[in-house]
This record gives sequence, structure tokens and C-alpha cells, in this order.
Amino acid sequence: MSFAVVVLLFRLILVALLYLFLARVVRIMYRDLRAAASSPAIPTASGAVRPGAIAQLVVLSPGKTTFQAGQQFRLRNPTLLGREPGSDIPVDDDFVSAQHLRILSGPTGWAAQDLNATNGTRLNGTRLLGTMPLKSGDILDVGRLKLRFVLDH
Amino acid sequence: MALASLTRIRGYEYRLLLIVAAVLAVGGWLLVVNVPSLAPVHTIQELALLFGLYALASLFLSFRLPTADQVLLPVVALLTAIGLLSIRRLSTTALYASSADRQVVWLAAGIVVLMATITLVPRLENLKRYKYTAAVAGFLLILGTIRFGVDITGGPYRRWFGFHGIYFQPVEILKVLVVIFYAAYLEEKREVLSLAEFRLGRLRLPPLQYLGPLFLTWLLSLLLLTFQNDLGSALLFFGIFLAMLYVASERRSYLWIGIGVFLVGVVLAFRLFPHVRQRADIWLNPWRYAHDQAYQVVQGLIALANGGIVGSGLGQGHPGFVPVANTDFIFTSIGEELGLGGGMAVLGLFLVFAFRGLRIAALARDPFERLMAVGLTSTLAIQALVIVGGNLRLMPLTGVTLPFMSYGGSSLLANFVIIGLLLRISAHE
Repeated sequence: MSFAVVVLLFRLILVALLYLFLARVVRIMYRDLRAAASSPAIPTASGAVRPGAIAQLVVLSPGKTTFQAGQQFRLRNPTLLGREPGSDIPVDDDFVSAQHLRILSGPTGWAAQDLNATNGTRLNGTRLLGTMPLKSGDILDVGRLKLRFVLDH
Repeated sequence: MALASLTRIRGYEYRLLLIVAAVLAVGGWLLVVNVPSLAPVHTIQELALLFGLYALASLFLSFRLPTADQVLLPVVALLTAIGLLSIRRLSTTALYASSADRQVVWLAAGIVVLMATITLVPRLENLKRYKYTAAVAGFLLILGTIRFGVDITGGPYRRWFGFHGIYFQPVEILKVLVVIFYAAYLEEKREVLSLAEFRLGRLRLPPLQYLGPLFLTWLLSLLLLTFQNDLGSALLFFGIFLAMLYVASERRSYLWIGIGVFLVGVVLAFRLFPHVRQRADIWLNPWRYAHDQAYQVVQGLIALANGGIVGSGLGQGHPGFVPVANTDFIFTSIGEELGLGGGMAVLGLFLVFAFRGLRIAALARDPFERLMAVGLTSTLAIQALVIVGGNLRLMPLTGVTLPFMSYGGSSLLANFVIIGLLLRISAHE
């Protein structure tokens, strides 16, 4: 094999490497899209959530909704609960406002924010006013739906 | 920084950066073999340094911003790697002899600026407060350049600030300032802008008093265009504004109004300014002016044709024949030596960047961050589109840099600020 052939080979390898890179990137983006599509409240593979701290809402009692007791929703920041179909977690209960409640994570940890819902939200039995911090095990009453906030470390 | 604060290994980023290392190694070897006049040790050292810088940036992100997007940095790394290989290769032409060494310094400064941006802007919200400061600073920057600037190409248009041999292009900083201002303004007026107030036949017009910035922008674009002959930047700023307005209002009528205003501007500019007419003429009939005004475009086309599908090979073509091959026309020198294959891959990288940037916008926490992400992403995407389109004669040539690839300090630094902000927006702790 003459030297010119080696150079030619490496020229082709150089361009091939660019496409290898693109193929890898496209695969990552495809995975992200799949992860985002499969569950609206689940964060995506290569960006959103630290594996060390997974925040979830667990359905304790489904009330009038079609949820199952024990069903889990992974939370991303922020997660919107409401009767609107576009919500991150759509709650089909007449007692729930279109935009009812937002769960978000700030520098001090997770918190629940009331969005002036008509029937309000109860946090451990007391009315949620404004934004209040959440700790693992807290109980949220959203309409007739009862949820537990769980933080996994 | 204790090792315990390393909360996440950024695995995707790390593996993608390894491919960038392979590109640098193969490219460096080809340069050394094919271009005997290059100093081999120096060339390999600078390519290794480039990789080291990105490894450092990646490590920095693992500690400081572990949840940030993992595709952005490797894409930028690969673009700058291909850019530096081309610029180093062009340094055999006497005109560009010092540019590769300077580019390495600028790249190092760029990585520092990236890390500084992430450190100094812990929350994007903080930028909101400076919206009018940003607007005023931008305006002064333009006026200042028109008044006190210099033209390093020796022509009559003042687009640079000079300082002891270092020339700075203020329009690059202006990009970031403009996006901050628009994002803050539109976030504030979002509600009213999506209401329709007047009806004109089938067209629903927005409340006009809130469109002040639109006309201000138009005016600013015209200012740039008239005094600086900077059609590329004028087009860029208009594109950024339209993209952000559309995302903020979610109303298509704004796009039509914007395009209408733009077309009126084009017709007026065509009538009023001889250099606009001339540029359109060069675009439509380049071969008629192949030896004078259209020399650059024609040489670019010849270079691309010469490259064919697989390219002439790094160091084996004649990219130096094209004037300003290391800035505005760097895409043609890549197209010549890496061929259609390499050129398409570069476009693919910009496409991936745009897609990723818009995804960051879609996942952003609040409207301000979303608008920032859209504005910053469209800045770089439109810029790539405008200059590559001009190189390929798909549209009239307007001089802007190809982001991360062209030689040029101010452009690199501004673009690294943009990447820093995008990374910050993408991180959800």
C-alpha cells in the first residue's frame, strides 16, 4: 500500500468521523424525544434531572379521576397540575381548576405553588397559600384527588 | 471544589468529545503530511491544546452545571475544530499567516468566557433588570462605531474599534444585548401582544403602541445598512426579532407583517442605495463580473466545484485563492478540501445546534428564559444560514462570520457567551 493510498484512506476517515459524530448526536436526540413522548411528566435522558434526586407524586386515592391508586408521576421543574389537557399532569376532576397547582424546584428544594385555584389545594390538611416548601411524605389534596410527594435520594 | 461535588458524570458529552479528539488527530496528521511548510510540532500542540480546553470546559460543567445539555458543547467543539484545521491550513498563505496562532488564543479566551458567563449569571432572571441598559448600550455602541470606528479592510465603512492592534467588532456584542432586550420586553408585553385590536380585512392587527420596538429595530437595521454597508447584520437583527416576536405572541400575523415590512425595506434600499443594486446584480450575474466585483463569489464557486464530493483532501486544495477565505468564505475552503461530504456535515452540525437550542427553549422554566433561548439560538442559526447561503450563491452575499468556524475574536467571544447562556438555561437542578 503506497503512501498516497494511506493519505486517501485518512481523508475518507476524517469525513466519516464527522458523520459518526452526527449519528451519535441524532441517536441521543431521538432517545430524548422518545423519553419526552412516552410520559409527559418524565424528564429527558440527557438533560433534565439529576439521578440522585427523583421527585415523584404518588396517587394515594384517585377520587373521581381515571388515575390508579399507587400510580407515580415523576416531576420535572416546573410541573403543572390542572384540568387543562395541556397540563403536565392533567386531572379530570370538576373540582380542579384549569391551572390548579404548580410544583417547582428552587435552590432551597421543592415547593408547591397555588395558582389561585377556585377550590384550592390542601397541604397536609391545611389550605395551601402562595408557595410553600414541600418535604418528602407531604400529602396534597387536589380536588378529590389525594397525592403524596416523595423525594428519592 | 471537592470531588464530592461531582454530582454527575456527563457521559454523552465525554463520548462525543472523544470523536472530536479523533477528528483533531486525523486532521492534524493530514495537515502535517500534506502541508510540509507547516511546523509539525507546533500544529499538533495547538490542536491538542484545543482539545484540552474543551475537556476542561466539560469538567467544569460536571462540577458546576451537571444537568446542562450535553450535546451543545461537543457540537461547538467540533465546529471550532474543523474551523481551526482550515485556518491553520490557510496560514501557509502569507495573508493569513498569523491568524491561526491568534485564533487559538481567542478560542482559549472563548472557553474562559464560557465558564465566566455560567459563573456570573447564576440566574437568567437577573438579566431582566438590565433590559433598558442593554438597549441603550447597544444603541451607543452602534453610534460610537459609526463615529469613532475604523475599517480594517481599508474601505469607507467603520465597523471596528481599534485598540493597539486588536480590533473589535461591536456588532457581535450587540447580538447578545439585543436578545436580552427583546426577551425582557416581549415577556412583559406578551399578554397584550397576543390580543388583536384592529381588523383590516382578513388581517388582525396588534395593538400598535406596543410595536415601538419593531419600528425601532427596523430603523436600527436601516442605520446599520446605510452607514456601515452591513446588510448581513441588518438581516440578522431583523430575523432575530421576528423569531422572538412569533414565539412570544404565538401569532402568525406578526410574521406576515414582518415579512411585509422587510420587503418594503428591500425595495426602498434597492431604489435608494447604489451598493444594494450592485450587490443584487453581482448575485444574479456573477460571471459577468468574475474578474472584479464578483471575483470572490466566483472563486468560491470554483473552489466548491473543485472539491467535488469527497474533496481534494485537507492541505491538498487551493483554498487560498478565494479572498478572505478564513472568515466570510471559510465554508468554501471546507467545501473544497473536505468536499460535499464535509460541507454537508458542517451544515448538519448547525442543524443539530438549532434543534437542540429550540429544545432547550421548549423545556425552559419561564417565558423569559424561553425567549432568551429562542433568540440566542436563532442568532447563530440565522447567521450560519445567511453566510453559507451567500457563499453558495443561494442569496446575495452579505458579510457575517460563520459561527465558531470563521477567524475572528469578537465573533468567537460573543458566540461563547451565547453558548454559556444556553447551557445555563438548559440546566434544571
